[in-house]
Amino acid sequence: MQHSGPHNSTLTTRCHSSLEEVRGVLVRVDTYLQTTRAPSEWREDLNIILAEVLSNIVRHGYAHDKGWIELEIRINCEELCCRISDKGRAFNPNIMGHSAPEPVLLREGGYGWFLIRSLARALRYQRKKGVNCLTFWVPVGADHPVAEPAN
Amino acid sequence: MQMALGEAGGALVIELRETRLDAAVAIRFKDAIRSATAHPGSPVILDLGKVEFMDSSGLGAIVGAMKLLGPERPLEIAALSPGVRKVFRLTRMDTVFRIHDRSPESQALPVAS
Repeated sequence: MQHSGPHNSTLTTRCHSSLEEVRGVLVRVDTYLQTTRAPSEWREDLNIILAEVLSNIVRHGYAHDKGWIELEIRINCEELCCRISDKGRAFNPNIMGHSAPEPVLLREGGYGWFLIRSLARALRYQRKKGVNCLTFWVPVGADHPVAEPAN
Repeated sequence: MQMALGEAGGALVIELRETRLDAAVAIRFKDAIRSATAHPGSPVILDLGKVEFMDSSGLGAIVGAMKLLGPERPLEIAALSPGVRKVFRLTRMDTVFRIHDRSPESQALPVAS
């Protein structure tokens, strides 16, 4: 994990495609974000998006095969940009998550992409040379400037 | 999966003593609820007061637990952190569960052997 720059802070990390390792990454990212004094709502949104994206990669992209997942987060005072790459199967996010299952159906799954789509901005997916790359950003809001993360 | 069992107003209270209810523990959570509610009986209140983070797998596991208990044995939930509440609200699953703002004041039940 690396942190850099006085004005633009970047965090990069990677993990194997396992739900346990994904959890470790999510906890580390949240610990890092706490040092930014960012509003807690913003951290909550990012935690949800990342958890959904990473667990989807483990379960569907790699379908529990072994592989790497790489994560890069760039923070400035107005927004947080995130880039997640992996070499799992290709997928089409455009067809997923436009609505959540009806609550009365009591579905046990099918909410993940809906949550990602509800909370992330400018969600973009590309597949190049066998690598999936998903990018999005989360607005911080002008009322809540983010402090420099403490290294 | 750490849980504590109690009793409040005739309901079985299951307090989840974990900070995360996520994809890594969703299956273990459902198994633990299955054993904690093995004997048929009272309504169940799931106390999530210690849970700081829940993802859609955690939500799915709670829905699974509700279905496991069946329509005769309602599952209510209590003490949601803002992040957990947000997942219920965005998915509108807050419309199918009775949600208590605070943890119920429960009497601990003896640990079953």
